[in-house]
Amino acid sequence: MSIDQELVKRVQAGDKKAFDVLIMKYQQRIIHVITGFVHDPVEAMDVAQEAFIKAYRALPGFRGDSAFYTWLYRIAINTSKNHLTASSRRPPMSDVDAMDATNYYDAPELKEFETPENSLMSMELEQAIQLSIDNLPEDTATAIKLREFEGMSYEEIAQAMDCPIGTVRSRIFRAREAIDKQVKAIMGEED
Amino acid sequence: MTVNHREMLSALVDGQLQGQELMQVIAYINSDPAARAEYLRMQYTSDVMHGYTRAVTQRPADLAARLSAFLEDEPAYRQNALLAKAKVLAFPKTFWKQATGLAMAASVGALAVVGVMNQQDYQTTPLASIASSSDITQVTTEVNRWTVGEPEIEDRLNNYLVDHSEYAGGAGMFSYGRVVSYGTEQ
Amino acid sequence: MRIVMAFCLLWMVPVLAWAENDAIALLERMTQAGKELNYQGVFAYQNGRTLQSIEIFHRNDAEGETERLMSLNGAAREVIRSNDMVTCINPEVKQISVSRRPLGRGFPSDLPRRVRSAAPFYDVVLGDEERIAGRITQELAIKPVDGYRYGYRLWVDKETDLLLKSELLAENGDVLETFAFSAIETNVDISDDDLKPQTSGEEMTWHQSEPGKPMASTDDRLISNWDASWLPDGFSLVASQNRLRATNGSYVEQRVYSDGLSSVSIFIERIKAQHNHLRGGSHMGAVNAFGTIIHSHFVTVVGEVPATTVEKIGAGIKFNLTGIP
Repeated sequence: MSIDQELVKRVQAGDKKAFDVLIMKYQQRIIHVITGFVHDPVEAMDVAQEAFIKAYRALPGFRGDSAFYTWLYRIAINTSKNHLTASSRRPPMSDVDAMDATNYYDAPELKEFETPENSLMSMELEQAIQLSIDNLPEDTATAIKLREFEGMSYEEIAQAMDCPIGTVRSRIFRAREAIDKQVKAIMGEED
Repeated sequence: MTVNHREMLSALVDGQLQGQELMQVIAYINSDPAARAEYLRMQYTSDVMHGYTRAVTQRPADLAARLSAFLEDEPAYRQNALLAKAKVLAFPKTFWKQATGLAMAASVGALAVVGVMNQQDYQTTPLASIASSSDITQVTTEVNRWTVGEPEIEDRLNNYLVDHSEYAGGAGMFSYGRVVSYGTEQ
Repeated sequence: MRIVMAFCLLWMVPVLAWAENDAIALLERMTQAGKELNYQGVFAYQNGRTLQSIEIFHRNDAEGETERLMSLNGAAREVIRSNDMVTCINPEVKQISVSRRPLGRGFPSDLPRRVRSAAPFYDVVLGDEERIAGRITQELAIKPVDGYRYGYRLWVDKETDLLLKSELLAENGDVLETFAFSAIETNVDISDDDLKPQTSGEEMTWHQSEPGKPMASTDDRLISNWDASWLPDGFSLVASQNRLRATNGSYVEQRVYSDGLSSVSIFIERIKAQHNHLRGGSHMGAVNAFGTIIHSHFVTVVGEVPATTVEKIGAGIKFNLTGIP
């Protein structure tokens, strides 16, 4: 049983806190998907909330044999589309007058959904992550790369690196800890 | 928080926890704000590594916290006996509010998204419609292979074709179709 | 008159910008949907006068993406992709080859995000609705601004955003190749069995390529001695990696350049013994290749771009002696 299946079963059995974990696990991916439809970040967040509420309410009907994320993804897409239809704001900034709109679209750097601050932030984060991976001891770096870039399970990494699973788990933790230190600094949460 | 507990947060990001440990980590996240923040950051960082950056903000959102009031009001489900083990963690009584799964499902009937497929149907669908509707005018090859004479060169080009397919943008998910079609004759 | 024109332009620009923005957003969602969703179906691949029909299974779950393609006519060739490992099975010649993506080469899902950067080099227009594989699709017409890349017509499912049909177009409008689903099902459960190869591995010869020594990506530009001195406008380096081919123990460097939509790979392989190599151009359907030998290396440019493009890129590849560590 995958962790998602186990979490879903727990929610279906009455453990609401297991649903918290599913939200935390998938919120970023779902918000990312929704932002493809609903460009305003505040609105996108509301749509994401609505999607998770719908998911919770629909969970008794969810058959555990298909992937939870695929199911959630469909709900997020439907919720986004419904949101756009309901607010019948397509394009979402139609209240901006033509002059402003011209200026807005003539500026090439604004042609992205991402705001400049947003792409700067993601660039900064990606650089910090890459930098901290580069500075890890070799074993630790290999373990996290196999996990994040190759998508290998702990068991597969243990085989590839010829070490016990417990070692893999602690190496990956060490890597995440080191990355987190850099990330925290960017977020202004240095300790 | 101890190293071992924090290691569990990292394993949770990787989806590599189950049973007792999973239950422990859920309780841990819900009882220790620092642990919750650390888990959110680790998960966030992993998502960024996977390219989910369109909505990157200064700090990870905590939708679960925003939804906690809502979840509080929602009924908890009770579909099977899996929670026998959960008593160990002594969840608050509110988790045991009863609700029938059926009533819940009925209220969200519009959300049923599971489709049924008919395998036989699609496997016998004729391809003629595609062949005839296509206005292909350029006839260059009759066998779909590299126009080179030597097997060694052909092999090398085939390896390159496979490695390039990962990045062949326009054809999207079809790109490996070129690889499996290699050598198809007219 | 001039004033009237200027006034009209002011009004038209935002409208056009919106239309293009919608089209690009659709293109992005299409790329995303192809990765995120579970689906299975049969599609046809046609180029020249050859036609192949192919079955595809695609699953995305907690373990990541897994995909299996199998040709339904002639030999049952299969490709299985799991995360970033690609296994090709060719029962005709009893060969299985496995290719792995090396470590730390940027983020695997980076490429879809680049679609937006293609906008300046193509005119993207939303077309009509059309019914494909029993579903209503939105057509997208994508015309390149110059002759160094091909055009596309894409038909995208209105419900799921999946790409259901794609045509690659030459400059004169000729269709070079077509991919089109005849039937597709989404919202399906793809079982482990669906993703297992149909051909058993017995009596097969295995060829494996392993990722080369992991290197920090920041070091790439120092370590690689190769550079493309000419690229079409908008093309830039999006990935580079080293693989070790187990068959002959040689390293192959792959450098991928893309404008966000079209891409070319440059492969560089050191000549270990007397071997033959492609000199000049070749093609496989709409994929063109150009080969040359530079400084004891086989250098090959491969891409779904016109022959002139791979040739010009190939002719401009430079080996840089000064960068050797």
